[in-house]
Amino acid sequence: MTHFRKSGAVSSTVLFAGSQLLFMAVSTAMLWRGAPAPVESLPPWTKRPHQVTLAYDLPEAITDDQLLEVLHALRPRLNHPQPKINHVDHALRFWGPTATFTDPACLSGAEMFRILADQKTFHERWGTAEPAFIRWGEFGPEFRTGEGSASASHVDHTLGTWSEIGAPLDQTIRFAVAADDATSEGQTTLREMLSAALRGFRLNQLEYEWTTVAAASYATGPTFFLSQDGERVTFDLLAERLMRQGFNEGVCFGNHRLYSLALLLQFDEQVGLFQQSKTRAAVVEHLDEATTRLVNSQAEDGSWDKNWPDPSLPVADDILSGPQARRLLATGHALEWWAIAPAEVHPPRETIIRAAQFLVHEVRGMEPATIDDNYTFLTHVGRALSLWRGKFPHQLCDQINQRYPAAATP
Amino acid sequence: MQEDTLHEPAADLAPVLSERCILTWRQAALCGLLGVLFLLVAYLPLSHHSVAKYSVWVHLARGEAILNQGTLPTVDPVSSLSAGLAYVETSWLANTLLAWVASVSLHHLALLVTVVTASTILLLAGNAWHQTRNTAVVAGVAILGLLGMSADLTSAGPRMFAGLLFVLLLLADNRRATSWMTWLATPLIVLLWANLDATTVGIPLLYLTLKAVGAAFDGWQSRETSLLPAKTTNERRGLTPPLGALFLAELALLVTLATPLGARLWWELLGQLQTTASALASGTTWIWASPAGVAMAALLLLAAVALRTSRLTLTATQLLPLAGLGLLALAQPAAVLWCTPLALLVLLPHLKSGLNIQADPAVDQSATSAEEAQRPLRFAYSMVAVLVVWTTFAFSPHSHFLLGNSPRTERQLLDQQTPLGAVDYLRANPVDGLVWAPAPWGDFLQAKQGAAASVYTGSAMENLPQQARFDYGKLLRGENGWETIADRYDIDCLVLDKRAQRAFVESTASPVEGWVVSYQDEKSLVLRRRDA
Repeated sequence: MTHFRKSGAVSSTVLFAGSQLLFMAVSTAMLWRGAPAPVESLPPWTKRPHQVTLAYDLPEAITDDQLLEVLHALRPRLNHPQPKINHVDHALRFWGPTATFTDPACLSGAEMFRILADQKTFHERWGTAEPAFIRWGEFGPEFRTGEGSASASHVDHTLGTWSEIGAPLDQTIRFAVAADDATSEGQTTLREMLSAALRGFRLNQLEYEWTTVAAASYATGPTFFLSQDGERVTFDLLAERLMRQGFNEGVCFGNHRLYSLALLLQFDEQVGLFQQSKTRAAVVEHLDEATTRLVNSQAEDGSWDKNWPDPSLPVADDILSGPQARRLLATGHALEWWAIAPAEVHPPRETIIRAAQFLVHEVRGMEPATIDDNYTFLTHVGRALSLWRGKFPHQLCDQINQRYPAAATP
Repeated sequence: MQEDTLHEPAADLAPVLSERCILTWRQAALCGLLGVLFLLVAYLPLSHHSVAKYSVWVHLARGEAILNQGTLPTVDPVSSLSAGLAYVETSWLANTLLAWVASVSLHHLALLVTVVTASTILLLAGNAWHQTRNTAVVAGVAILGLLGMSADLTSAGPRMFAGLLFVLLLLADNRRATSWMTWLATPLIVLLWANLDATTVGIPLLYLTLKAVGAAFDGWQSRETSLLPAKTTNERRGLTPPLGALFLAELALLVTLATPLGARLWWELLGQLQTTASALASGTTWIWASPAGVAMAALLLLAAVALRTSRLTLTATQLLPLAGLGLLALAQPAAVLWCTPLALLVLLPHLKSGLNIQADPAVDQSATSAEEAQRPLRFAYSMVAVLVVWTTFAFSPHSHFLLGNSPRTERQLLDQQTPLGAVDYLRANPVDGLVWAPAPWGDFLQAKQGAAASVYTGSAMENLPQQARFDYGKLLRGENGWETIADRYDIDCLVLDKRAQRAFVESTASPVEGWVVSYQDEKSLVLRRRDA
């Protein structure tokens, strides 16, 4: 009897243990199965950035002679101590890394790149008292922005510049390890800078256009990255964000957003950035709406002003920009994004020709000092005019140098 | 025939109702009290601010998204700025049900809320009657239950269903652990709960787990050293209480897999556990001068009395769940929804024992003569009770379904804090871009029953990106540079709360470039972009 009792207890124990093991096995398996798939915060990238294709050559907009004259006038005369970093940044985007000039007052593309990407060169120009342009931030190496002449003027503009001039991701970047010690040099890569920019990105931040340009330039397809706020940022979402605000809102009268959208369309054609086809259609529609507004608001002289989306709105002069500067800014930027946009969103040719001729006329009449003062947005003017002739400015450097030898430089 | 009947001698008339239908004055009074409570619940506004975490409009919008798409949304339908952020719909069944009922009419939705609330309270009251047969106790349980659970029960949302299910679970589980009813009802309730409101399904699991641990402790205490089935012939057919409780808890956990989320639900629960832990660490202050605060204080007092006076043994099976959920409620006032019914159920036998609560005096049914047996007044209180029930129903806002009287207007279903003037203005003058409003107002502004506007945020702010939350705060305070933030989000209209945003409202007295005050009343001020 005792034997039977014992064997009954043993079998019950085995049953109990077996049931608990089964429960734990099922639970663990289900937990394993339901585990959220790990998400890479950053996508794979292509080592060399995509480049925009120039599909238009409109001699009626600007003749060869006019173009060389304008580009010469807008050469980067930045070869002096403490050149404004946003000027160097814009000039490098304008002229590219291979540009060279016979004018000794000018910086070459390579020199400009070094000033931005090598802290030693930066401090040679700015002195060691100036805080480093590239420093180590919360998410990795970052650009000092909006902190005076030795810093960038737009968030991630330099990153956008580097991607637009074709810098590879393994490009070495030298930065100051300690913010208060200019000589404490560290070394990183453009890949790390891009990673840091995207890790610290927020979809609702003030400026996001140039981060978008950089991310799209190195994208391998319809990828995404995780923002600082945990958003799964696709290029569709970036496009939505770029289209969210009113046309006139944002820096440079909203034109950077239109440029970024046009660039997204180009790269979408090249590598397929958008996950949803409706995004492309929405972007085209948005740009078409911008074009309609621009056509309707073009002034007699071919220019636009700050109120280009709605000319009925008043435009007040501010401290930093007079009417001429505003018109150059608005007109140059518009021609620039049109130059890389699909033909379906273009205005009538006459609109472009009148705008281009306005720019030529204005630049011709500008004193060198005025050009220097307004150099940042004039780089958009020069680049736009060059793109409308189907060329990047650096492709015309030889012709400029031949036509305007250094001795003849005013 | 009738005439014949009327001419029958009184002694030959037999009562139609059975003796069981004879009610006492106490019971009639209880009917009156329950009627008053019913009317209170029925007349509460369908949408009331600052009570539930989300207003009803959030749940309706989410439910409508499910009904329209036919799938669970992966982006929060009530938060346009949350694009790109992962969203898991954890209350799909409750939201769909609410949206479906609301699509019939808001009056039907209000009726649903009343029915769920009344059912929950009646279940508690019915159990109290079953245990004590004392009308005073039943009245106390009904009042305490309503006080403790009203915040969630009367807010049309998933927690309303969860409250009812928890009471059902407690009642089903109050039977013997090995009862077939328990084995059938518990998994079914948890299954329904997981689909209705997975965010709170951890509560029944916690309860069942604590109960299993308690049962194991009790088993050990009573020298049932083995968790294994008992050896007597009778007990061999079933499981011991510890084993039964353990298997029941495990079964309940497994049935939670039967939701559209599948095993992902468990990860959601684990994530929620972290959130709850951090919330517990940060602590929340009880507002004692509130219905839930009064209920909690009363429950604490009753628990102390029960512990002090009860002659019954308080088993670990009873104590552990009560202590667990009680501590949770003390740390997180929202958990009073679970603590209240559990405390009422667990403490009642102990209070009955300790305070020597007796059943109401029985109705004197012994008739001394045939004439007295036919006395019609014996049913007087029954008739009064019927009258009370009917009057209660007739005076309730839901009587129009049956009586055909005019229902309340839909506006009467909203609380006093709803900015109706601004809603009317936005309905008549729609805005293309985003509308910013204080979060509690955002829900109704974006509801199709409201202004159907695209809003910056409603009360579901946890789904906003952090940057958007920062910027919301700046806009709420009307900080310098708010116009730039409005530009960045394409906000075309701001609806300001005149009471809560006084400084911001005052700053609009002087013209704001690009913006114009387009509407205002005593409650709100609408600031609109000039070109919008």
